[in-house]
Amino acid sequence: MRVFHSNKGSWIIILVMALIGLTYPLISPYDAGDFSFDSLVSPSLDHLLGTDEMGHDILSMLLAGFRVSIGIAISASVLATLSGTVLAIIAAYYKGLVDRIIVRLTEVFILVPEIVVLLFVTAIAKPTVYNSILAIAFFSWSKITRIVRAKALSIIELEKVQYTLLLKGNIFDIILKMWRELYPAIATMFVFQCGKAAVYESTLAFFGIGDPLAKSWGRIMRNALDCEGIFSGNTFLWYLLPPILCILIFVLAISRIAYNVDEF
Amino acid sequence: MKILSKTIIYIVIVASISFLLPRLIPGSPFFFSHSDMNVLNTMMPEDSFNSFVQYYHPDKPVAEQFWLYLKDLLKFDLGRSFYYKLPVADLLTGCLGWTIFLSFVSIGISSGIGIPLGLFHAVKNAKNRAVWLNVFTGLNSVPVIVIAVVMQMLLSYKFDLFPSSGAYTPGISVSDPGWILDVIGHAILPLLVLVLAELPPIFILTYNTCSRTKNEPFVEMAQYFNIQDNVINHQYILKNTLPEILSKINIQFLYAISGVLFVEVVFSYPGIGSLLKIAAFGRDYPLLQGILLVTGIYGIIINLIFELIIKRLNPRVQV
Repeated sequence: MRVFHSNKGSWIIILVMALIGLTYPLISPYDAGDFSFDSLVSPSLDHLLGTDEMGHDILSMLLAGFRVSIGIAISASVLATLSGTVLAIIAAYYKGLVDRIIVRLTEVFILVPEIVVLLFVTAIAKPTVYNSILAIAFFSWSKITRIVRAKALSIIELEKVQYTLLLKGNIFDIILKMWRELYPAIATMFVFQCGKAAVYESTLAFFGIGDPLAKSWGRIMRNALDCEGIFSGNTFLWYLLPPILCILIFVLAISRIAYNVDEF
Repeated sequence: MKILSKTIIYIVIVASISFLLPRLIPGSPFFFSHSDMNVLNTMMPEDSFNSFVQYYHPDKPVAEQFWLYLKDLLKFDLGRSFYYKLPVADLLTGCLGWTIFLSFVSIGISSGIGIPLGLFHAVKNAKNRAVWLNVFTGLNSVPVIVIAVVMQMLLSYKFDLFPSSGAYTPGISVSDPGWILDVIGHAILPLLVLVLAELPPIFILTYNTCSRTKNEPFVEMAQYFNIQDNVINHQYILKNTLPEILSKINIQFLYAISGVLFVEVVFSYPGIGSLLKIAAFGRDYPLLQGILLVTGIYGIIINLIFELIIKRLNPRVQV
């Protein structure tokens, strides 16, 4: 639990954000899809962050964004970490040709700019949240594989693992034996990946692809930037800045945790 | 020789990915069999459909499609863009220059500042070191796109210091005397954003590797011999860590290509990023495929250059 104490603030921020994401229908003042209000109203007691050009309440959209953005970030990271770890362990266990093929593949995925692959996949597939998650996971596994494989290669040399190998243990026995040493690296990569996935999701929305109905932070940011004359008045203060701040706080808190998570 | 064969393998893999990816994704038009072509015909505009059929040959078996694709690649024929109605290869060559310019200049500036700064903080026990490290690790996790939007908002819309978009003022031509100044003026803000994004990782990794080398026995021995400090710093520490730093900058460069693409979109800079935005938004498959191929090969070439330099600097390195 040392991690929790050394980074109490960051953990509390993340937990509160996740809680907002889970309970937002209860606390949000209006329905996020309701566009019956006047457009571009300045902040008042009725609309704490004003309304957008369509007449949505910005605060409600922002709260709905907690669920969409954090949900996408976490599910994409779970998928990426899972597939990356499995491939890494396969590479470390079988060695030889299998290892070489997996390493070459991860290198190619690092050489090709991630954003191009991401946009490629999402532009061709149907624009749903589910596909965005798959796309983010699809090109994130390579970095996890790289790190976890290096770790697994050194762990597999440990005596207890070698002993299991000697007793003709199959790959599952090896995973069980290596788990305690491998766990910190995987946990760190998972937490890092959460931050990255949140950024990628907002990037997708920023490029105007991904599910047009999912109200994520990135989508609000995009709408704000598309809105005519947002910089002429003070509109950007309550329209553009809140989603940017949400993304920033989430990513910064995540990275503070990730730097210390391997102290477990 | 080994590096060269590795590079060729990479290029083949990238080409196959750009061929296979659109055919593997569910819901893509490449999934239609030949008999469903009339459905696709109703979904796409007539001329897009014609160039789609002409370039992708959906009526032939997949193996033959791949063969034709590779043949077209060798002729630098990447198909015709649906959106621009121009050959993709021409569009890409027109834009690649700006992207290369931004990525090289920004990495150059960031390394020029980051490596000396990292070395300085590693060898000198300056008082404010913790502050610097915290600032840089914090900045390291801020997404490029957020930096870009905030900088654009502040510096060009609020205070009107720099032009907010484009690479040059519309209407000005290369032969005009003020052209270079105009281009530099437009490049300052994107470069500033990129340097802010690329400097922290370079600083942190230089700092880390130099701090480690500083405590090696051979450096301590040199200190006992009363060798001058700056000779120790440059000849002993920097020279020995440079290959490691360069191999990290290599990876950083590859990440920076993505960063450049973002920044180009935010500032409407006429590079690959702006093309990518239009291609993704307009579902322009040939253009997307071309961009994947070209940026992939650009990354591979950068990797090749760095590996050659590192090998030159340190013959012990096994590539």
